[in-house]
Amino acid sequence: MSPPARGRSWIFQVTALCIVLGMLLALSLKTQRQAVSEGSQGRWPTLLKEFRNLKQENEKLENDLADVSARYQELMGKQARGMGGAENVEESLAEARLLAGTVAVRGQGVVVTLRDSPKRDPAETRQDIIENYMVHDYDIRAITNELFASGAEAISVNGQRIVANSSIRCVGPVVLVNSRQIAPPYVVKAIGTPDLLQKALELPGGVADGLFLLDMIEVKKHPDVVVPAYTGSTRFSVGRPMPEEKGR
Amino acid sequence: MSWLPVLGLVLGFLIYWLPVRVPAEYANYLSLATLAGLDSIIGGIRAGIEGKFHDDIFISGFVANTLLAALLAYLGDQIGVELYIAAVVALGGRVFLNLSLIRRYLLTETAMNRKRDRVR
Repeated sequence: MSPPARGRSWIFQVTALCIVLGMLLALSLKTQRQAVSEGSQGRWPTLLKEFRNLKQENEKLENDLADVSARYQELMGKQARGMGGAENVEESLAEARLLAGTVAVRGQGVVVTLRDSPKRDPAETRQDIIENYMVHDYDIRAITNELFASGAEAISVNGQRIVANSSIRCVGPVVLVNSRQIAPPYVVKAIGTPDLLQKALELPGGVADGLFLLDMIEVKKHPDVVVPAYTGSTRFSVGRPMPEEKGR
Repeated sequence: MSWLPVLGLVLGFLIYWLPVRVPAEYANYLSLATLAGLDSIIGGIRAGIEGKFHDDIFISGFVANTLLAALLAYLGDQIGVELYIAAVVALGGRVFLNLSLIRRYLLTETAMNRKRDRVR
């Protein structure tokens, strides 16, 4: 043990440590402030206003759509009863085919590639951790859902067209789309407004957020996307079509 | 003379306006070092007033406490139990203890001084 300090000389060592403490305090405060400011809420009021405006516009357009739809049905009825009935049937048929997915579609859109994360530590042995670095069926489902929600008109996953009865599920380590096995990398092609589709996927906090962080997803806009036709069965063996109600 | 440590604090705090950045993962360790520093300073002042201040004990105290606190924080992270709370409680407890000893000493000293002056 060193000799005890004489008189008041110890105050210098205390001062020295006070300087260090001052620095530590300042740095701690800074780091705290950093952590808080990184989640700033500056733009929310503006975005909220924009959102409300768009919502109102949407409602108005929906009403317009209902009106136009009704008028269209009326005219279609008149046409079918009059001359040129066969042409109209052809038109409705083509439209129905597009919606049903039984015909291939081409147009501008995006191509999304999903693959297992290259950021996984190869020495990792815990199964639940490894799972987080792999692409799952729920990832593909979330992506296709988001794309449809953002206006995608046709989507295919590894060449399998997604139609109304399509399923995306996994059996053990294998992903099945339309009950057909597909293998990674998973290529999702979607036809729609490329900007909208890309922005919807890149939304911070959105469905693909985690995938972007782990480098598992790549979204590319494409001027000419070809989505193949659905090649499965389209027979309804249980359901029967219901007659359309008037004025809908 | 007694304002010197305060000056030191203010001086050290000036680093707040320097473009230094600390990665967010170290924020926890930083606050533990701050607490250990506070404990060492208050402890040092108490020892100084009692005439029992030792250089090596003072510095080694700060370093050892900070290291142990950091070790507890790191260990706690690994095993999922917030062990650093032990350091916070221990160091915080000592700050209050030493502060009360300083307070008693100063008040007793002034009481004694007053008595002495009155006797004179």
